[in-house]
Amino acid sequence: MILRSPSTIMRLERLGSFHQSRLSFMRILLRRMARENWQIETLQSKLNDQGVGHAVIAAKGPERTYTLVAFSHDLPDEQRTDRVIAEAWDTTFALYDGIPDDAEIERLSKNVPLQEKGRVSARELTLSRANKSSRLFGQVVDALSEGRQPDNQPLEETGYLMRTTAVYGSGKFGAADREMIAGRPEFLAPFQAEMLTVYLIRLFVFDLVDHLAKIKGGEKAVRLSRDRKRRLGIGNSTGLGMAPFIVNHPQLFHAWVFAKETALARVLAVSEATEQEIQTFTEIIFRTQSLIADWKTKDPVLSEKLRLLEEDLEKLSKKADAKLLSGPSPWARLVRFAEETLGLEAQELLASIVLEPYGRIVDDLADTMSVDEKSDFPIDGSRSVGEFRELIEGLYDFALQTDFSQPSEQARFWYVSEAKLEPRLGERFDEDGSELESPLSVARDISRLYEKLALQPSDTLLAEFLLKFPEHRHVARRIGIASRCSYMEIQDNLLSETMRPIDMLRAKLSFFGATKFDPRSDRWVRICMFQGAPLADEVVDDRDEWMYPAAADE
Amino acid sequence: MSNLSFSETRALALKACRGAGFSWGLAEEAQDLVHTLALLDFPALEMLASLLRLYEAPRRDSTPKEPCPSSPNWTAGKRTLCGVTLATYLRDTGFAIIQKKSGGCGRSNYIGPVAGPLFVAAAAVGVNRTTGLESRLCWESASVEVNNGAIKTGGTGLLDPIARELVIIDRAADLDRSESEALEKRIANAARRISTSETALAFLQALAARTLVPESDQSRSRGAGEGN
Repeated sequence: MILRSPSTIMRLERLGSFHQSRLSFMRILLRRMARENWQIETLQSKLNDQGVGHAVIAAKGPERTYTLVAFSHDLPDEQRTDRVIAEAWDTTFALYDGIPDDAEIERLSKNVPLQEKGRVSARELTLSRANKSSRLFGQVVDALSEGRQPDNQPLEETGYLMRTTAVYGSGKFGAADREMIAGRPEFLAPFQAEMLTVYLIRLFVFDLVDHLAKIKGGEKAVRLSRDRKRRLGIGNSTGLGMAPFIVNHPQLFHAWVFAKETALARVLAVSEATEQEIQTFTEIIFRTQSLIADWKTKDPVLSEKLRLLEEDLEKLSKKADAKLLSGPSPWARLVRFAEETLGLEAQELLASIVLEPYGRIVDDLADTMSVDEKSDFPIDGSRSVGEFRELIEGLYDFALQTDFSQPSEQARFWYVSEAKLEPRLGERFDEDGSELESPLSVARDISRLYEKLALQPSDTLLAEFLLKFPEHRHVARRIGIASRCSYMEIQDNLLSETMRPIDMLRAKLSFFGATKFDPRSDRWVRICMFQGAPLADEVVDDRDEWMYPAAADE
Repeated sequence: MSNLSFSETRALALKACRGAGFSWGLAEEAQDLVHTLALLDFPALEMLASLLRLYEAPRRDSTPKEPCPSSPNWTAGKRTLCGVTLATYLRDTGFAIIQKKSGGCGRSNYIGPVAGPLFVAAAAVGVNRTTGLESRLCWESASVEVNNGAIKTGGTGLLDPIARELVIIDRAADLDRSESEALEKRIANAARRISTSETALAFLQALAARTLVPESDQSRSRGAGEGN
């Protein structure tokens, strides 16, 4: 079984063409909830005539119950912003470990709406907030209040009525540390608490819009139809804050990519496809063409990529005929065709959808996507400098080939802003602050280390070298990890003037399961999550192709 | 007192050390050592604040110099050894350097003075958990024994900010397995919060703030939502 090479896969342009797959975190969550027959129930809904108040929605698994405590606020339109500088939101949330009593809800009511300025406890697994899609939310409430369903087209195009602007977990602002829940089977895969939070937010939004329509229209009002609810997910607005994650958590990112590449390799090794598998794939290709057609963006770079993707999908669909699919090694032949004739978007889309018929041989890889990051922390100081140089030559050719004396290759610097404690990308030769740059300059730092090592006797111990030159320790640790984690490193220069941070965001978000990437610049993107997902009473269905739109029921 | 999560504790330790002038790599080591000490119920952030108050940037002249015939002890010349730097160096070598340099007698020469000796003990705990290497660290009025994944402390000087003379021995008491199991349970109770004095917190936060870049006209126009 041969995996695609890291030197092919880990280029930023390709990472920025990744698509969701069976191993995306939200799909892993919903498959588990279906398998374990999770029950979802609204325990409380105390919203006034303006929709202000709180609600409590419980998700009951086989061993534990998790509860979304939702607060809905009266936010003036002029205060609504997705930016991290916001201080108020339409809705704020906490995912509670268990079922909160009134005293706990009271405590949360004083802190959750404050978000970063409040303080939560180890009983809260996540802290989040969401804002209305101003135009669409009001349109839907109006339509329902008048006794009619809203038009499908704007729902499909936008994909959501509300969008989150942050979902914090892992110990932030006092919430439970990841270590506290990592041993629970339901949280074994990455970001499951965050995915559960967003899924429950989606259900709350449906309740909210139905409530407001009823208040406005009285007896005339209708509830949003089940089909339209399924067509809606939760939006998200993501900027540079997320970008450093895949660099700062190399073992984790390696685990994600390695799992997906292993899944692909397993499928490519299938020598003969069954009729059912062929039928599933053919249907998915057809539904994917519909998905791509509905994917709208004003971003010129992505618009062009999508135009080419639609053309490539047409070619792929023609190539994937009955003769090829019923022949030997159909998937390997199809992937080879894509590599030889289609663009990156189509290649990576195929790498995802070819997994769809094969849950039985790839879904188990979900359990390999979390790691103990501390296990690789210590540096092996007993290595010699000579040995370490050879290691760099074998692993970091892309860094050694870059000419960092060129200003274009050091044009940017990553830093954390004082104003909102968020990552930013600065222009090194136009802005102040590069002396405080964050350690995301992997390729450049590797290059500098390599040059320094060349000046030392080959038999010098690494421990001695790092004692003398501690400024190289950070990147030395990365090299040690990289010798075991071949898919961890983005094999591009993250300081280059041509680097697009949006590619880093898309790589991570594809693993979340996001769709409808809509870049608003090269460092800010809107996405949709759980669009097409089962509703609360449908979670127990084991249909897993909800990502791919079927025809409307009405 | 403030109660922080482990995640917040680690993040603060990392940024405070960086703000104090540590390299990023050494700040990561400090972060890991602070995490270990917090797991073991030591006042980890207070100890870090104490270390960083003694000197901010561990300079080359505060790193250990090996013993030599004219100077049999590990010292930093006339300065105090940085406990984080020493701990890191020892961990890089698996503590083997002590045994090697002591001529195989299993006992290091004197090391000192050392600021933050408990950070060295934290490193010993980490090495014991990964390699099984046992060790005993002693300094004035304090001892730490690490073996079988367990730790046993003694004396009144554990939290002393400076050890005049630290000795590391590659033998430890055969610690009771039940002590090890108790340690595992403490470590597993990740619902704990880390209590920290307001004074230490404010000091470390002020150091951490040095890693932040103030807004400028150019950055304000770009922000996170701008770009190309």
